[in-house]
Amino acid sequence: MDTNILDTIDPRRLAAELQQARKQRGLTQEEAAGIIDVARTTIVAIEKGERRLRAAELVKLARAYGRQVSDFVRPRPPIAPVPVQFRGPSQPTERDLAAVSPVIAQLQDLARDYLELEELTASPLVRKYPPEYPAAGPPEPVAEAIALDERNRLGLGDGPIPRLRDLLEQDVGLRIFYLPLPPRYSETYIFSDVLGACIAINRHHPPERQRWSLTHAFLHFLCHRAESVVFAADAYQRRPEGERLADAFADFFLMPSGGLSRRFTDIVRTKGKATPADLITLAHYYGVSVEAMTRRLEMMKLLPAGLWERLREGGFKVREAQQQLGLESPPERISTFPLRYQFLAIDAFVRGLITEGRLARLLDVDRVEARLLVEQLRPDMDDAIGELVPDLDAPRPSDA
Amino acid sequence: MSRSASAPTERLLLDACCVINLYASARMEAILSTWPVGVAVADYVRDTEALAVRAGTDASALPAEQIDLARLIGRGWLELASLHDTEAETFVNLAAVLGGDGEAATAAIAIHRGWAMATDDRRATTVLGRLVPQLRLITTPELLRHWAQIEAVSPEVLRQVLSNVRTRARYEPRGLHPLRGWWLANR
Repeated sequence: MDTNILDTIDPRRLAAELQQARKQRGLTQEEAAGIIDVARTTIVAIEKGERRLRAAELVKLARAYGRQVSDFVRPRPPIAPVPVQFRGPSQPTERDLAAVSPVIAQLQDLARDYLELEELTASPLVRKYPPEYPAAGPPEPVAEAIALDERNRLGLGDGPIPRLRDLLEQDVGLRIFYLPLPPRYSETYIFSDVLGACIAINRHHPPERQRWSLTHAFLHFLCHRAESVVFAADAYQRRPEGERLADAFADFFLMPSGGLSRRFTDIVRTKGKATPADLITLAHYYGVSVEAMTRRLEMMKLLPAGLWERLREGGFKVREAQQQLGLESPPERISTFPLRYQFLAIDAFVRGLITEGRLARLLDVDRVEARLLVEQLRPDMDDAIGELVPDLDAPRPSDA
Repeated sequence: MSRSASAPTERLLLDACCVINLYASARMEAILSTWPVGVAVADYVRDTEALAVRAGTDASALPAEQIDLARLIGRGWLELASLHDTEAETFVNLAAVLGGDGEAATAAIAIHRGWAMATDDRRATTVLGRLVPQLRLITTPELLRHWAQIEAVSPEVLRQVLSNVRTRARYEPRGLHPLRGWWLANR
């Protein structure tokens, strides 16, 4: 090892990474200067790439910024921070910004790790992006047309979509993570030419709501691809047209008229009328909330207008009824990472491209848990990938 | 391929993976005692990377047991090694190539101090074997076999130890590891 990496690394790129890491940690330049015992002007020069960092200084700064030294010096795809707009019924408060900004940064870091794994394993993500759809016009007809086009393009027919996340990850090429957003935020969407479209869904929300948010984010990708946004989930006093379009798209995409109408008509023909239990069963089948299903059927004029409000005012307890019917949540995968990301990380480790420590960090588990995951996916590490695909979403002790 | 662990002549620095494996064995003190020249772990590895094994020896018992090295350190069986500023440049260079700080810090310390390094990590072994051929690399199976031979450990005890490492650390040598046959014969 004759070459000192700090003499050859692009100083401006390193400088930008250091500054970003410092800001994400909430440290001032003065505080950073104190860490390595230099003047603040020296930190300024370092963060402009005008003064080369010494190895011991990088070690101290990395630790103070909560980062690995290797994050700054190993070959990684260069990613510029993506500016994100807030979209919601009210302006974000300082508290909102403080709560959401780290998650946005986390999404960008995870997407970058994902891209890095693809480069390491020579497995680029195939983007099956349709052309951007125009969103002008009355929301409901526009939404229905887009939903129909996408169902046709993806070969979905007019039935339920059991695994929406897998569909969007594999058949569209979106990068989807489930992250701990604050409660009033439903999803974040970021886009760059290098990363492509990346989505973070609030992992704390109920499954039906997560699917709805994922569909919202998908519509945003379809119509406003380059706009990076974080969405607040608060109720609007008057929904703007963009939100009406997103809600209408979710209706038509998750509950297409033809198939839903047939199933509902079959129920009525068989039983004479639909009961609340039928609404719950239909909602479960389509992976939506009972409210969304009821309102959808009202919109299709298959149920009387205002039925949901009457059910709610009458004390209809959805969760209790679901439990009595023995209905579990939709079979949606809710793990933090995309399935493909996990496979790439394990593949990179098995091939000796990354260390065990890096694998554990990529999967956000300790080393023994990382070994367990490798064992399950690759029963014999030197054989070809086995046919048995492990249940990577099985509850883990670390989830308790 | 590393030289035999049967004649320790230099101090040994444990990587995170070996700390985890030896701790899981439930015989870590006995194993370390067969390396009389001295065994150490980088403080960064102790603090951030060698964190837990799986409790119990039942393969289905998954709750984590935190690794606590305090007693071993207190009794002098294990030392802590901190990265010196003079070792930082090597550490940073290795971090760039290995992509992991734990392995890089351990290797940097070992290289500069003329110590051996205990690691089972495939990437670390490959890269360090190429870049720093003078660095002596030793694996968990070599340490266990060394201990079993020096202490004339009974087959029953050895079997239990290998089982502990397998179930609590989820480790056993794979594929072309030179001691895979020894491990399978004694587990």
